[in-house]
Amino acid sequence: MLTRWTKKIHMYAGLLNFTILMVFGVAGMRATLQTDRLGATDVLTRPFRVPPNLDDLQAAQSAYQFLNPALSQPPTQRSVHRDAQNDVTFDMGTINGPRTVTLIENQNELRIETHHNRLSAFIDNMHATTVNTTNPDIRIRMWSWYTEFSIWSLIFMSLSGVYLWLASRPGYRWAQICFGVGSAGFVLLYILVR
Amino acid sequence: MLYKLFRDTHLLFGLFCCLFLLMYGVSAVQMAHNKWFNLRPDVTTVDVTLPAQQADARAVARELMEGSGLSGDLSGVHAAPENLSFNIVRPGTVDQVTYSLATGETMIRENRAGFMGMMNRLHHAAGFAGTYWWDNPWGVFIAIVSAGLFVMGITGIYLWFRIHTERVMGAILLILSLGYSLTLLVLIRTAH
Repeated sequence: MLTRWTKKIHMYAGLLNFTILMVFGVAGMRATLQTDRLGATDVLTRPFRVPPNLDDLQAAQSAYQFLNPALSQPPTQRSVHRDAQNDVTFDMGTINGPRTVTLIENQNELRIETHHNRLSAFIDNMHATTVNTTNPDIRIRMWSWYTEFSIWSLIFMSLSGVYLWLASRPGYRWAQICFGVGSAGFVLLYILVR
Repeated sequence: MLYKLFRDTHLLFGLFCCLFLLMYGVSAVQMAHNKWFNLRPDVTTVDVTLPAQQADARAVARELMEGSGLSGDLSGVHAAPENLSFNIVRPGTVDQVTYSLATGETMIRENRAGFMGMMNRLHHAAGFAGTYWWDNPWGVFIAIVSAGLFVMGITGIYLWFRIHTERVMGAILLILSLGYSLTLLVLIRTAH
């Protein structure tokens, strides 16, 4: 009875987590191969007049409100600075790649430089989006709930998988070898790293 | 025949990857809920004396690596007129070093991560470009585990589909899951 239900829930958990298992796999392969994060870069300008009597942070926040960019968060003191031309500039990190916004005040325009993450880097960022994200975007928050579910599912599936093996074919030699090699490798490397 | 192959492949990859997947799961819980855990490292302090008047942190670090058995990457170098301070960092351990130029007295403050801290560091270790010899075998294991996730996902789908009594329930769950996750992936990827 316990084995039957464990198998059922193990299987349902796997089906519910199929996408994110693929996401985790891509993130692991990307980390293994150390592929480049950034792909193409777009630059566009938009007319924008900075309201008078603002300090640099307030000017940057005003530009941010004007742009209202998706998936990003308002600039903070740390992300705002002046560049070599004395223009106010700030960076916005998003899951799709970083953006740099420059307020070119003498031309009354904003320069927005968008660096697009490659697909593998995007998926890597997605795998790291957990419920402690401060991003208020509802799409990000909904994804973080899925990640949260998947984390607990991963733990459950790892443990229930071992249980299902022991409950069905504990004497299967290749299973013993794989479990032994994987576990011994992990423990040995843990000790060496420690 | 195909069923047996897929069932065994699913089982063998799962068992091989088991502890690694548990490490990823447990450390992900720690990262998602860091308030639940106390990650304060164990701290020990050791004092050693080196030759005085060495103005280069790199030379002092090398001397400590060769003489006191420290290992890791040098970071956070700060050179003041009277002393040097820097960190020697390896996964799970940070040695904070303060060296007095006048006397050569050197304080090594070792911050060693506890179990959860180690899980966190291991979660972030992958690839073959690391400094230590064990980076490569670790990288091989992580590559196998990453490929194993694809293998387990695909064989798992096949194994489910072969259980006729679970097809309807499984299909509902799979469609719901794919609908939710793929929609979000597309919406987030295409957001401007």
